[in-house]
Amino acid sequence: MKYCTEYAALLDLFVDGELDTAEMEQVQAHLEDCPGCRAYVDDALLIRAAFPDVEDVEVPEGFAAGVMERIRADGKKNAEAQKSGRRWLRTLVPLAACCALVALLSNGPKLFSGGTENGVSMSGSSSGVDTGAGEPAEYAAPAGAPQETEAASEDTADGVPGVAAARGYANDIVQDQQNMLASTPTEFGESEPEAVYDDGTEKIPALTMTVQEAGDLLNDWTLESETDGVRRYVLTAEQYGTLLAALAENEDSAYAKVDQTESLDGTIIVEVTGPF
Amino acid sequence: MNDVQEQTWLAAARQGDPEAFAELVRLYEKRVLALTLRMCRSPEIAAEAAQEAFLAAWQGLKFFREESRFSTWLYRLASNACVDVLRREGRHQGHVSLEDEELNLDVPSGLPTPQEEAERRELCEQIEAGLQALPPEYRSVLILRELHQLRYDEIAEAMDLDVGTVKSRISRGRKRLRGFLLASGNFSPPPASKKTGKEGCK
Repeated sequence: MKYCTEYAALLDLFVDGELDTAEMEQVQAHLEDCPGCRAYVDDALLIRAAFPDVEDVEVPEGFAAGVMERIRADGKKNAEAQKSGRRWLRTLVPLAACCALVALLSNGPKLFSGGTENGVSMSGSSSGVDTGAGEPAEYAAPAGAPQETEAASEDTADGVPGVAAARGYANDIVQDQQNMLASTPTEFGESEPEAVYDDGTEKIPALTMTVQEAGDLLNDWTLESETDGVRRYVLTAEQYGTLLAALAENEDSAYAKVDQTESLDGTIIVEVTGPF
Repeated sequence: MNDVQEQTWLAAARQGDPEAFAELVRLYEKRVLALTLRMCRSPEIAAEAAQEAFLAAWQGLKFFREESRFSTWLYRLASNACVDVLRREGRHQGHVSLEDEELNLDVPSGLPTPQEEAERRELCEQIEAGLQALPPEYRSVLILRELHQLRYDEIAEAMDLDVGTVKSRISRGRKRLRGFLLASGNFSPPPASKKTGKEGCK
């Protein structure tokens, strides 16, 4: 026998005590006359009486202790994860600072030495970080990207997250410096001297001397050309300074009074006449 | 155990006192397990879900609103934990058809024997089976109502539902459970009304 539709929505509220007093009385009166609804309510109360009791539950032995042990283990795991993160920072921050310092110091012109076909080489920095111009893409990690540990190669901090990011920053600065230096004649380092000005015209020789007067110094000079028995040598500023110093040792030398300052800018052309 | 003691433990646990929280675990372990056992069926999975519920409670104490009842909040965590554990275990404790032959419906027909405890135990087992046959959303609200005696608004809070949804799920769940028990033969059809002799009320 089925409960009636009209009271179907109220029966469960009646069973669960969710009706107000007036509604409770209304349903109670209906139950007196409706066996279907009465049967439903009776069955619901029977289910409630027979429903499993909380007190019937058997708690597994050591359940509470197991919960607390798991809480402790979870707390320990979180603490270790945090410590690992801080360790990572303790390595990264000084390393990044070191790379930045290298990049800043590399801006100082007197620290450069050596040369490549592309311009100034940055090898030999004190930190050991190789920011060679030949491999910029390997370190092109975005700032704050700690996961690019594969970029580490010769660097002593291989595998440390964030190294690539620090290198990338330093390398950008270095690359800019290289580009700047490559485009201007330099008095520093060992770049190949050029015998022409920027507009392509030949540089006027600062000196013209005989091969005997040049002596052994010729061995270090860069021969640019030879025409009609006259050799044009391209000297660096350092080489020219050495030449002038040697000439000045002989007070009677015709070159003793050569203006030694006029050729400190850029390279210097010295013509040497033979026979060679 | 009084509410004052529970509140004292709760306040201490919220400050990070693990011993106070351990007291709360001991206080509620039976009630939480009573819920998870009916939700998960397997005692091992039920114990795991209960443990995860307490772990979630410890981790989420700072988010617990004091105006809510701790028990209500804990039941909610237990219900969520059951879903998570069952999902991990790849088991679906969903609706089982009444025609499912795997269900043990070996119960005597007609009214049970006069021994009240045996009858209740037997019916209790059938209710357990009937609960497992219910969809989880019906099962959980019925358990909170019948086992934990929560009001509709408390169930709504525990399950993050509106009261209207709680009402409809309890009604539908109870009707399905009754239908399961009737089909099993545990309930005798009520006698016809002397007045109408017809179904229902006109």
